Amino acid sequence: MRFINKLAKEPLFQFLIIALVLLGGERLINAEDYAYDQYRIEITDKQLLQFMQLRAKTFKPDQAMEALQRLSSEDRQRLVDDYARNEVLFREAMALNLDKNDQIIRRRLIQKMDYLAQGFYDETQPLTEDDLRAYYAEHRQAYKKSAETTFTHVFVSSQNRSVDAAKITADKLLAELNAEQVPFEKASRYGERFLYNRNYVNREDDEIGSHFGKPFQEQLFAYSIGEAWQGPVPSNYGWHLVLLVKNNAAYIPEFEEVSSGVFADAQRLQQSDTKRLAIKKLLAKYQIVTDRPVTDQVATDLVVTE
Amino acid sequence: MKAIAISAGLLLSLSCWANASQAEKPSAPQQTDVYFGDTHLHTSYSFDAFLNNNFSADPDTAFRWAKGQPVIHPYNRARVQIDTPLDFLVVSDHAEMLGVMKAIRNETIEWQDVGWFTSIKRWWAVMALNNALDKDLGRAFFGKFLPKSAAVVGGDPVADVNNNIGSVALFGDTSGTSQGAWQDIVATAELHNEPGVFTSILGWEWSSIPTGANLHRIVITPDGADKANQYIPYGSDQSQYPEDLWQWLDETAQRTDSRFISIPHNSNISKGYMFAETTVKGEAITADYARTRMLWEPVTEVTQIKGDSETHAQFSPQDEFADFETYEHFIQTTAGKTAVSKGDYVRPALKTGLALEQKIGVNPYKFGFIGSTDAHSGLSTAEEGNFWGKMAKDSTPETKAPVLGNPTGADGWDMSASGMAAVWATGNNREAIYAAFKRKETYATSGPRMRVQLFAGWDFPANAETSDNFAAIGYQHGVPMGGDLKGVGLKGGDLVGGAPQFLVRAVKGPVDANLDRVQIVKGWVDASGEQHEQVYNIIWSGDRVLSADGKLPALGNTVDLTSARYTNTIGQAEFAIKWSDPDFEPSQSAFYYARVLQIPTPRNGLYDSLALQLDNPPRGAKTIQERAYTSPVWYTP
Repeated sequence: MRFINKLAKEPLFQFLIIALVLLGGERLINAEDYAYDQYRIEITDKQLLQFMQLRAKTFKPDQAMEALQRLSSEDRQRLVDDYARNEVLFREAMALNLDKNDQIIRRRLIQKMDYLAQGFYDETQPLTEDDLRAYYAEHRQAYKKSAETTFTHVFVSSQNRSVDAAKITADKLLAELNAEQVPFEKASRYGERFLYNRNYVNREDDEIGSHFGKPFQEQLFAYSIGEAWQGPVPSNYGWHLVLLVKNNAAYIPEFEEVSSGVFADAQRLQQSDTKRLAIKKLLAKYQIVTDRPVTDQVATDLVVTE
Repeated sequence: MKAIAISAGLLLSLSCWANASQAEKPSAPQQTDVYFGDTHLHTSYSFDAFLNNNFSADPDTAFRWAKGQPVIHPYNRARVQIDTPLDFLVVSDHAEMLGVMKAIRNETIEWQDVGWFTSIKRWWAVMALNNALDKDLGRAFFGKFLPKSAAVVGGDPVADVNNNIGSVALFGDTSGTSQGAWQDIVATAELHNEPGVFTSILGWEWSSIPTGANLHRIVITPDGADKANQYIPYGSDQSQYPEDLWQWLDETAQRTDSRFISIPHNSNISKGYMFAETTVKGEAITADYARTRMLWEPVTEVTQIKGDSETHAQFSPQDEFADFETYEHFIQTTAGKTAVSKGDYVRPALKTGLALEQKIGVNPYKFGFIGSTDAHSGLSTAEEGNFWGKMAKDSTPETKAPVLGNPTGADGWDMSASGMAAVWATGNNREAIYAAFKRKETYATSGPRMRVQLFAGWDFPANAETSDNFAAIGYQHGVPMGGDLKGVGLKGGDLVGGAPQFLVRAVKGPVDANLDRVQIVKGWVDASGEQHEQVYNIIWSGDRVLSADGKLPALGNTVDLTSARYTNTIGQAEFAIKWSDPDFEPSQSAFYYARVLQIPTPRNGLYDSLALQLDNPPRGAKTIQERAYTSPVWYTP
């Protein structure tokens, strides 16, 4: 008794009693809220909608809402029952700590965390033009444009005559084309039909090479642009008289010309960098005890978005 | 007097036809260009690709390769590159177990509850899978999923007691994993789509193979991610009947506002079921069935790595070019292909279609042609000299055949570096390519990029074939490949009474071998319902002369068998001709398609056998006469 009296006089004890009363009183007053937390399951259209879509494995809220509203009363009842049962079992399982030491859940959580790390990207600074220019300066070679040409040609086949005879015909035709100053659009009135195209507009050097052969390709790109017809140039198939409109050597384009592609590439790099950094930061919090040091790879190898 | 009345009636009915054919005209484009692509390619997401050592070639690798960029080979890790880039590509992984093997191996699988007994089986299977992959025996593990041949030959293969589709469910419901894989395929395709330059098209494979009867279809859609992410690809684990696939396509098209095309392939190993005279269930083909089938399946893949399905000598005994790249292996537990059926090949199928049309009024087999690879390496390789395997593993000379393989099973030496889908489209984009598929304005090649045009009409202007406006004339005065030639010899409403004419132009691929000849293949059904076919040599290189039975002497062969090189000293780079059918019978329905043959070139096995210093490739010919098949034009009286 004396002990209790003595205890009652202790300020620490008094404080404890007051705290207990306050806490208990709050529990009593807000009892409904606590019940809500643990043992209350609210099922509205919102929950049912998500439940339905997860089950159907299709995600189109408008259609799902329509389908939900069309449900017969029996079907709706079944959906509610299913949802309620799932939710109860889920909560009981959590209460029993069944999620601990479960490989499936562990794997799923790792996957989610990994996904989250990707999500950090949304919080990074958006790329500025300076960033893009810097990226471009470092990766210019990747944006190299092939040599391109625009020309029309008049063809003299050597299929049904000798190469020399075809050359004589081509020489004569060249004089005629130049004497009459035949323009690009009227060229198709002259010569014979070629296997591939009459006109080549902004075509790459490789394609020219595949259609006419390498020597033709080299000669064509060596010509200068002009009003006059040039040639004859031999190909695998005969002789060609060429009216050259445009010859662009291979070049590394200005940033402005390829900015959208640079943006996409730089963004992809930023995304993977951000993710790697995020995972590295997480790793830094831990002391990893092993017989060999963890390399930088550990951050990238976590990528499991299969 | 009576005769006059009859001819007046005839003219009247003919003018009705003329109106009908005119009404169909406006849908045809006037300006098209040819684009080459592959609608059938597997990546590491396909279970069989993964089990055969494709662990790393994902959809991104596939697109980078197709666009011409160097990539890492998934098995031999060499840097590899296509010689001529593609214009379009479909990454079409198997819907069944999509992404599952990869996810199990990488431990990212999402398991569903399957009950304790199945869980134990599954646990065992996962162990076995990992063990097999650790020991490089994935191919043997793949055997678990092979079908058993039927107990009852000729019955409904799906209902057969030996049908073991259940083995696919070994891992329970893995649709969560498949959904993730599909979304990645879709997102990657969207990233790589550059209309006008390179087109990526979304698709997958429905891999129905009940008791080894190959009913596989590739499904493609011209639509994008917004629609494709509303479904998971429909697989044969849901149903093995094509009717159910079409039903799903119909429902999903309506639900998501999507469009689909289903493309059958490897009819050559369908045990006669692909183009049978009945449905798979053995029921009679009805007009409804025929219409539904043609609604979804306007084109068929007729040539690919696992062989060619044009025709077999058994059904085309007069055709010396039949039996091209014939594939001798069913996909099933018991090796060897023991039977050849009429329903396996497309030329007999086109004839069956005409005969069925006579009976039921609708032709269920009125399809156009494409080729595609069906490569499982993530690399669309249809170039014999730059072929990187059917599977990832058979990509090197020493691994072309499995060391401990079944001597009668298929191996890398059987495989043909084939095929290519060519489309005449108004542009290089999803809409235009889809429209070309729907019009059947497509053709198949066994790999090379020969450019083939075909128009059919009644009265083309003189010299149309050598005109610069070849295509414009063709479209104006006729119908392109895949089209319908209607009416009989009408010119400005007057009866001409001639035979149908064909404008054909074939040009060799820019970096490919010369051409040997162009042929027209005709098939028809006579009044008594009997089916016939005839192959006409219509233009050829050199000064060869046709024999009395219409045959040509062989062209020769420039392939040096010690170096696997050829020269273009024989053959011709281009053919252009107007040809008319000398045996035309106006009352008989018929189809016509062009077949273009290249000069002989080295087959992929020759390069490998030389590298191995073998005298002969263990299987397969040393040289190959590559070819193109245009979609047919149909004549209906």
